[in-house]
Amino acid sequence: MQGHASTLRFTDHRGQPHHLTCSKGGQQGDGFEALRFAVTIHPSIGRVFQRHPACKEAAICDDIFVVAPLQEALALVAELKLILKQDLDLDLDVPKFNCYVPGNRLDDDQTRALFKDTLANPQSFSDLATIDAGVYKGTACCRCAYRN
Amino acid sequence: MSTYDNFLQFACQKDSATRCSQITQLIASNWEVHDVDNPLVVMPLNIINAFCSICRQAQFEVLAERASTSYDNGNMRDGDMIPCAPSLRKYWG
Repeated sequence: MQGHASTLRFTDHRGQPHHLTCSKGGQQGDGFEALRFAVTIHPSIGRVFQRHPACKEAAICDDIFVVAPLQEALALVAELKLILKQDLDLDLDVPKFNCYVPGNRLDDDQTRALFKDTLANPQSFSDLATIDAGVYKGTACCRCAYRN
Repeated sequence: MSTYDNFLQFACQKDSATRCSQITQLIASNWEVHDVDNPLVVMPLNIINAFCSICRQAQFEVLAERASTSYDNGNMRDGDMIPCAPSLRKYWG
């Protein structure tokens, strides 16, 4: 299976069929592909979450929402990035990550500083060093852009 | 199908986006009990070209319910069972 291409018959908006040689993935928009994708990532992601019991997650296919204390969330995401690449050849888009901090105990500057300090400390977060995410605070989208 | 206490997948369910959002907000509403030095956060993750990039071998093996190679950094080995929903067997074979 690995490396062997199959032919995808794709019909464009004019009804013109095209035959594409594919060796990875499936057709987004195909109803069964959504189910097959979700079923495939389920055990890989689930096993990582078993090792991080302080973290919780809800997902719709590839849209994944991690809810956890900051340090535990970063540790989980670092491991998840590694496992998804090794097992499924999937790449997390680290620069596009966002981080929402519910509540009002920290102001914008404190939130940015805490995020930056936490990310900088443990060695295991080095894979996430390219995070260029917006850090959001409170229930309203109060954006305080974090940049490395 | 394996179930995990702290991981919920809402794909292909009715009102999946609404339910996913409600669950996420419900969990995040517990922010006050967490230390201010390690606050509760919500991190939406994004996978690059997810559907068209996923490894087909892994997709088939999940449907076949058996690993043919090592997964999970060596914690799952060649020949190990991969639990999958029995209702998916009709799409296989």
